[in-house]
Amino acid sequence: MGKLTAVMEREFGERVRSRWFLLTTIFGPFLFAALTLGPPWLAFRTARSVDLSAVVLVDATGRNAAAGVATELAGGLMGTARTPTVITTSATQATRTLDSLRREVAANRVPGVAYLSANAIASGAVTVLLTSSAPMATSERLEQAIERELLRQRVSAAGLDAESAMQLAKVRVAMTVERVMRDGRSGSAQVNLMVGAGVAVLLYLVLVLYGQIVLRSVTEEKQSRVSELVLASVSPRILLSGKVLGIGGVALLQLGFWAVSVVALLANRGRLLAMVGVASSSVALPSVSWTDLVPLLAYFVLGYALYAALFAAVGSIVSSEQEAQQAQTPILMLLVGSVALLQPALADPNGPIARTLSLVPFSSPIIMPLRLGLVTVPTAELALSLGMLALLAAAALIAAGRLYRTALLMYGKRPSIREIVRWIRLDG
Amino acid sequence: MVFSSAVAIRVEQVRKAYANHVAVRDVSLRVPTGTVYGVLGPNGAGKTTTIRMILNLMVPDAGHIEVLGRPAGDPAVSDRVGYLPEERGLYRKMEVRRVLRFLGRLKGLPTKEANRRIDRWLERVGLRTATQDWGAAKVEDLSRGMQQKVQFVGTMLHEPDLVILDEPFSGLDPVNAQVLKDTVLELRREGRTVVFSTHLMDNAERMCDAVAIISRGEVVADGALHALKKAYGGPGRVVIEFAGHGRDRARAVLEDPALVRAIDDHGQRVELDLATDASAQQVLSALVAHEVEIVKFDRTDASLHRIFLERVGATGVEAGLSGNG
Repeated sequence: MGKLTAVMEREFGERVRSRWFLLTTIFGPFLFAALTLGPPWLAFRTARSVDLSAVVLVDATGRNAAAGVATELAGGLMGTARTPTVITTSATQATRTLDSLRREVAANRVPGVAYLSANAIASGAVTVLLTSSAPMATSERLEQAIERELLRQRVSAAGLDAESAMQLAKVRVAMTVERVMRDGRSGSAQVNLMVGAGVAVLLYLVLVLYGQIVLRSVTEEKQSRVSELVLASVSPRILLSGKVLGIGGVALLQLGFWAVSVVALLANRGRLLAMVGVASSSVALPSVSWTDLVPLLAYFVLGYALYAALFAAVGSIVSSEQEAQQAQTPILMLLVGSVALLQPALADPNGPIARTLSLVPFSSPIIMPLRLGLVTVPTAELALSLGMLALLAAAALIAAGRLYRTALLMYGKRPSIREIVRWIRLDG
Repeated sequence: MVFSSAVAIRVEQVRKAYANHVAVRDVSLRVPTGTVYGVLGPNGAGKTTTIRMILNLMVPDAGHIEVLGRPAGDPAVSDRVGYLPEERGLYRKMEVRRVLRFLGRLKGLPTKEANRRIDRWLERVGLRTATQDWGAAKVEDLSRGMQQKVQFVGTMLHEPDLVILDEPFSGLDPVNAQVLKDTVLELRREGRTVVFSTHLMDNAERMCDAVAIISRGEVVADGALHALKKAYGGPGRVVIEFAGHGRDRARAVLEDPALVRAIDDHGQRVELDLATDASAQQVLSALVAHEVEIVKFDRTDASLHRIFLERVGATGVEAGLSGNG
């Protein structure tokens, strides 16, 4: 037991201490943060960056409506102290004023002009002149500001209390779609789909990433001839188990860190965006209970064990890293195949493709978690799938352990399938 | 604790075949406890395969191996054995002290005790001085010679009762070779058993109490070094230096086929291979009878090198000879 711990601790400790681990672990949440917080912030930045305080407002309403618009355009969190120039004119004078302003705009001395005509309050007729290089968001923001001011004018003309009327006029439909499953669980359909696919892709990435790490670890040990030294002290089974467990621990640590930071990020998304002055709707996290996480964890652990054993077996029969890249192709194909069939499985989570893939042990660690997120999977089916995966993983670990003893000390020509089978049969 | 039984390693009729050749055929060996034992043989003779089977790195196709009184591969035994493989490697990216601690823990050494011993050993082999501590460096930052020292320390850290070294001198610089020799002799003084394989006869002759000569997967001679020399070395070799007219007077003796088989003539100095039934004493008596003036008369044993060449060369002729002893 002490030796197994020693092997595990070495695999775990050396990897967690590496720069690679630090970078990928921290980079993950940053990438996620960039993906969730980036777009709204960027959109907001673009909108803010249009400087509307230099716009000239021409007012022919006779009710001083432009002054309200000017206040609205100058305000805001990062607003400048400058207020747009307001020119009050009469309907008859307006054409001349506009003609001269048009020249100013053409010469790029004024970024834009908004003309509130005499019956603007009644009809909403507003003319806007903009420089050709003005961003799209400019007219949108102008429109919003003018719309609000015109509404205020109408409300006060009708003799109503302006503030309460403005409040009443604000209606925003916040629609949440819930899909109710057979067992009464519910969750937002889109979020469920995203979370399901996300988990499947994440599992795939982790299996590939950490399978490769197991592969490299075995190849390195063999290539540097350390394996002979180690095998003189521990049995091949202990060396293999320690390696798989140690690296699996690194994977769990990294995944755990990612999961916690992603949940924390999503839960605080609104607050974080508000900190930089962006308003946002909150994302409803799917209701996930601990009982949902248990099968997920089981699939991860068993799937990792299966693929780690396969990658370790490949690592033990090759003599160099280049050779390993080639020899691992069949295993990578199994993983890539599972992800390639993600689309049809998503489209019909209870269809024959999805059901078959969630039973076959090579694809079930990726497809079953996806199905679990979308539909209610019968317990018997889940048990069968997990059972088969566990059996195959155990068989793969035992076979890899046996192969290990012979293969780790063999250099040169890669063994044929027949030799590999013979080595596995040799009982250590 | 030093093992008390008389035999440290017992190999009985062991056989191992690879896909298309037999590496070891019916090898039997007995390594007495507390001795330095050499496994000699040309490259490809089956030395490494035999050693790997003793360490349970490979399973023999047939036969039986006992190490320190237990069957090979018994977990209780592996902690008492130190092994330095021929192809030596370390985790390149790891800190020296961590590698050594790991190797110690694989032998059941508690971390605290390992740390204490590592410091002592690093000082002993010169990797830790008042100004520099290579223990904190990564393995890949060490020179080849320093890495050899680290590998060596890793073998000895748990103070094994039995040390097995596979071609330990290959690739060693003279300084490290001396460190190795000193340590082997110290281990013997402490009553530990050392087995090493080599194709360098000089080292074997100077260090070993007993040897086994392996050729083409078979033991062609084995036993205590002095017994081997007696058994296979023939009557021996005599070096004579003459004075005055001694050389001329000695002619009749030197050309007597009953006494001398071959002669290496340097004029006033000759080296004789004695005839099969002759002894150095007979030659000396004959020379005295001829009133030959002699300044030097030196009887030397047959060198291990000669025995080796003879035995290894003889396998083809005397196939089936078992050097069971």
